[in-house]
Amino acid sequence: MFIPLHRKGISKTVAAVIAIVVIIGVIAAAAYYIGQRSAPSTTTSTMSSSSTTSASSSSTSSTSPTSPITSPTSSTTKPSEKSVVVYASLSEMTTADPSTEFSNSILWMCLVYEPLLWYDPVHDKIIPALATSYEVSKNGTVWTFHLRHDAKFHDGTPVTAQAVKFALERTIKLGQGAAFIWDPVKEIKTPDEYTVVFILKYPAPLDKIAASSYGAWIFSPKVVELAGAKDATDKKVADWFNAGHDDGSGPYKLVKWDPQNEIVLEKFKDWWGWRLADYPMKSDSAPDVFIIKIVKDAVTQERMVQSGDIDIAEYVPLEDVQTLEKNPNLQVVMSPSFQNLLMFINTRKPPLDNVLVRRAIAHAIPYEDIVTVARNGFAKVASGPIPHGMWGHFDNLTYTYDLTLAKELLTKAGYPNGLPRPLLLTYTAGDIYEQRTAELIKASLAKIGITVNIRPMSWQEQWSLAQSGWNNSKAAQDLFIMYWWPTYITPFDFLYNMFDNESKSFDLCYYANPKFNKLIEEAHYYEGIDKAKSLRLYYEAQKILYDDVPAIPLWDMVDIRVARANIGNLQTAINPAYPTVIFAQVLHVKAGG
Amino acid sequence: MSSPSELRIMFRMIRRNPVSMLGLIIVVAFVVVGLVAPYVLTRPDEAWGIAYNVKDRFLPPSLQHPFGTDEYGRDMFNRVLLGTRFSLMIAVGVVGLALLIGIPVGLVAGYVGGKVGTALMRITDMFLAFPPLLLAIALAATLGRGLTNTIVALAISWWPWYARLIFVQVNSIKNLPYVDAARVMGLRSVTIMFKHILPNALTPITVQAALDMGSAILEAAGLSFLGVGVPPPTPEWGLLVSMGWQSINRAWWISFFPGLAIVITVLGFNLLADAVREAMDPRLRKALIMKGV
Amino acid sequence: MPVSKEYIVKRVTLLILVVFGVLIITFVITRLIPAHPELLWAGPHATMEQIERARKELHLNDPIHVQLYYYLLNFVRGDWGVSWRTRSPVLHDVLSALPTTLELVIVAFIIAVIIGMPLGVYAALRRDRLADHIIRILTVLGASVPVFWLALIVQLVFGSWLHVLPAAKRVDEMLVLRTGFHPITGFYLLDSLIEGNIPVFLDVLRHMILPAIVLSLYPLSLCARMTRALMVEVLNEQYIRAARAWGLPGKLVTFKYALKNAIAPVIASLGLSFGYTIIGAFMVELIFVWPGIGFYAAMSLLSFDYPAIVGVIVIVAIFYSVINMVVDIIHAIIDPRVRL
Repeated sequence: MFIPLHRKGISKTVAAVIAIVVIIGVIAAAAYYIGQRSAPSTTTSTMSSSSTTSASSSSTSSTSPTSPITSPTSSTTKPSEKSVVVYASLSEMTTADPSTEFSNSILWMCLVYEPLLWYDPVHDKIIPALATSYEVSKNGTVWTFHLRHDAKFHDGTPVTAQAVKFALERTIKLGQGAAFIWDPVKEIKTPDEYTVVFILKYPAPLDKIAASSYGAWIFSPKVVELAGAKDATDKKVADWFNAGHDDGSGPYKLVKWDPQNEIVLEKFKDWWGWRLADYPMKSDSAPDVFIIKIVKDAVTQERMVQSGDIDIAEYVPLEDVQTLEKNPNLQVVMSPSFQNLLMFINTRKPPLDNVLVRRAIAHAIPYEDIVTVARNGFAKVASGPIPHGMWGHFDNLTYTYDLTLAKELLTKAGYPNGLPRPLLLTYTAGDIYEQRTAELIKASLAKIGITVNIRPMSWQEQWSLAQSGWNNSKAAQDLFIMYWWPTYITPFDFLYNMFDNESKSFDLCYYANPKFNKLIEEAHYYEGIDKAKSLRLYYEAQKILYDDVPAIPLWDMVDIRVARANIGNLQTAINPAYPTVIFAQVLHVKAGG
Repeated sequence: MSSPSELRIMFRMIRRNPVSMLGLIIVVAFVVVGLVAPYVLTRPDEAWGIAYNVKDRFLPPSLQHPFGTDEYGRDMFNRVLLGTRFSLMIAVGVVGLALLIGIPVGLVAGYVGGKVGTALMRITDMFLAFPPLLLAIALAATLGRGLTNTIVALAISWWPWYARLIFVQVNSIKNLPYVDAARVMGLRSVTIMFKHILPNALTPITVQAALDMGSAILEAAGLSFLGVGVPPPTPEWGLLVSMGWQSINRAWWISFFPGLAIVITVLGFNLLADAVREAMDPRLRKALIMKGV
Repeated sequence: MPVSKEYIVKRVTLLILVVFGVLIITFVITRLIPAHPELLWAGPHATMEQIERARKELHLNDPIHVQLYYYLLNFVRGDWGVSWRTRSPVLHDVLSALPTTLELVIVAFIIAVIIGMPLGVYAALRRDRLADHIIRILTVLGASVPVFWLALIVQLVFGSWLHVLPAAKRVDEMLVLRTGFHPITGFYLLDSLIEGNIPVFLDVLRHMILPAIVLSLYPLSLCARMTRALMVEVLNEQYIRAARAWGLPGKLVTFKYALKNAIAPVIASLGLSFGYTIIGAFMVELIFVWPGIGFYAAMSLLSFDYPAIVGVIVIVAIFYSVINMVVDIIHAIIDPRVRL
């Protein structure tokens, strides 16, 4: 290529240099301008009127990074003297509104806000939080909670029954996120300053509901005033929360809100728990500062925890766990989880509307191999839709991996040579466990003559494709892989949402069985009153699902976290009822590491 | 502009230079392996991704598994070998399709000229105004994953280059005396286009295109790595590298060897391209011709 | 300069046409994907009326040209939709990530020139000798290596195995906290210098080394190649001319003259490699978790986040065209001999 010499060459240099400087200048100015824009209301209003893809139940906006509300160096001790624990999260934080949040922000909200009760499902124990005790009437429709007297919100006001009523009513009125858990509630009464009475429309396990992972947090009525709003449901309150303010009563305060990069929490000195000698959910050597760093990649998280840049990693590549265990600076913590993976079958689209075909598929899936390859062994083969360790789980609901049986069933169904058309299997793009599971299912079903086309999609696309199946079952996919985890700990959460045809959002196998619906409704009714009877009914319901195979539960997750060895008591800080949360107030931070 | 003797001279130049000979050997080996691969696999089911072997996961390179095994226990050597076939298909497909679209456009624009020609070239320019791979990525993301979709997406982002090259070539040829002579003799335009102009414009373009196959492989690998190329379990080299990423700390070989295959293959094409470009440099050739090469 | 004004107008029109073309293409993309935006808009617990209302609000029932009109209108107004993955507005995501990437790309280009040009000159001086051959093969190698593979290997070796350099991210956030660093422009190197914050400056530099080197490989190879080619020509000319005239002149004079003209191929090579470098940044940022627009783009592609994908395509296309246009215009202003 012949390059012309002389002036043109030199002038092009100048031209390029000038161009680059100009462009840098423009971009820097734009970035500066963006950084200055701190009013979330303007961004929100533009989006809600004409954006094409926001879901109203999820956050409406997240703010541009704001400077720290209170600088961590504002207190008398220098930051280097405070104990700091850094926890890496794989996903960005979503919203900061405790009434409507239903996603990733649970990670920090469980440290900044408190519900009435906590639930420890591993030992099936209720732990008092803002409520110290409670009673339920014989017919299960009147629940009385007694609040502790010394709890305070971060703004200094005391936690009273009126505050509890205020917070829960706001959640119920806004009707988003997990507000549905309060459906059984007819009325909330506050007979005195520290007693809250719930009158229910029908019996329900309100203690479990009050200990729910979402939608049960209590916050101060003062937020209305602080946000300059008219009332609780005024949009200004939500905007105030999402700008990075908190007004909870928990052991930590929200100090920096940069949902894409990091969240900084600082100890709330006036938390009632620090003063209680034998409270199970607190530690005297809990960290002063708890930082949540967003690190979007498991390989990176692994490297960072090895180098000490972070103290706790939420995800590491499971293949590396064996090597990490040998590292004396690290600890690997395995904990049960109530998250499971299921494959939904489009029960309305032939030939999958034939139960024999579905049973054949159930016996052609290599469950053990999937656990080995997809999770490197860190999962349990599912037995029924209720995960291991949860009340309502039964061990005898597995399908054997038997290709001969599968072929027989297919033949009986009228397809001796396999299915006439390929099946479409969708899963969430970017999730490596789902991807591996899907590939193994594809390889295995091919052995009985079923061709499966696997297609990764964004969750939104996948879900809306499945939703369109309610109007036209031919349009939706055939097989759909999805995680589930409970909002509050009850089998009803799983069984209703995924298999009752009233729950159009997540009954994505389009299963409609009135006998089943009645069974689980009854079981839920008795859950607060007669546990044994409730359990029997739940078992019957699951047996129906086992025989009908509208969906195939694949595996129950086992959580693996890797942390520096000097973080003590990590096992207690993890509770499967509150997925992804590390209860920092429980950690023993030792020196070193 | 080109004739059999020119090609022969080019060949001789390549043979003289050991580096370009290396390129030629690699390219020939690539094509041969690509054609033959599906028939010489020792573990075909694993290569195609149908079978998996839970007991043999993450085995490091050994005699039994020269490139080790992946997280499904599949033999990587077989997979990389079969990947050659896919790379060949992609390379030929992309370049072929791009030529198929680009040549007619450039030919017509160049020969007909005038308003039609300008309009066609303006459209071509619009395509060229895009950053090179961005259009391919956009198309691939829309069309969805798949071998054909990847080829189509890349071809659509490539054809403007060839159209423009042909356009320039045709423009320089069409005013040559012998073309004028043909016109004077009353030959139809189409005949002139196809029988006289095209063959002469074609040779440098096809040589260029053949050597571009290396870039096609590189770009397709990039698309697959970003998740918009071929779907798993296709053993395409770029996809193999991306699938080994999660396990890279434990099993570096899963990502390493497919990437190495890309490097060697593309290197071969580029070395050859280099040599050819030098061979086509008029001054150099003149000197060599005078020397009696 | 009346001539230049016309040229500027012409170039700007071309730019607008290109942007328009990009928007049309992305509009087609958004209509082709199978998602039902009204379902996403209304949320999972919506009633049929709410879904219908969503359809009306999103103009989904209107004919296609009306939809196109609203689509273009939204873009111009700055409403580029909301990313499904990050749940925040796409325009905001994209603009805040742009300086991060620019910083990396500029440093990569600097490396490419600092190493590439001398290599090219050296190869030209030692023409056809061993050093020249080695350098030539190395440059061809540089253009043959897939960026993403190299990034993985480099990160593995230097980050994991040797623990020499940080393997990911842009800066140590603990350090940021402790030193109270506040980004102003988004260019951390600039900002840290402005604030006089040397620890952060050094830290950002440390994090930048590996990704910048990997990203620089392609432009480096191209730069070395083109510099060599030009130097060979120049040296030939000079040598011949000088030999014909008074015998050999001072080597220094030759060298100086040749070097002045070597700037041309350097700039040309950077221009040629710019397009590929942007795409290379997608992969390098993904692997090194460098939070720029490449990372954002790659993550959006991997999760099929269409609103974000569309936003990235538009911004990158605009950016690329703008840079080309600005360079050409300034060139035209400076050198009036440029053809219109």
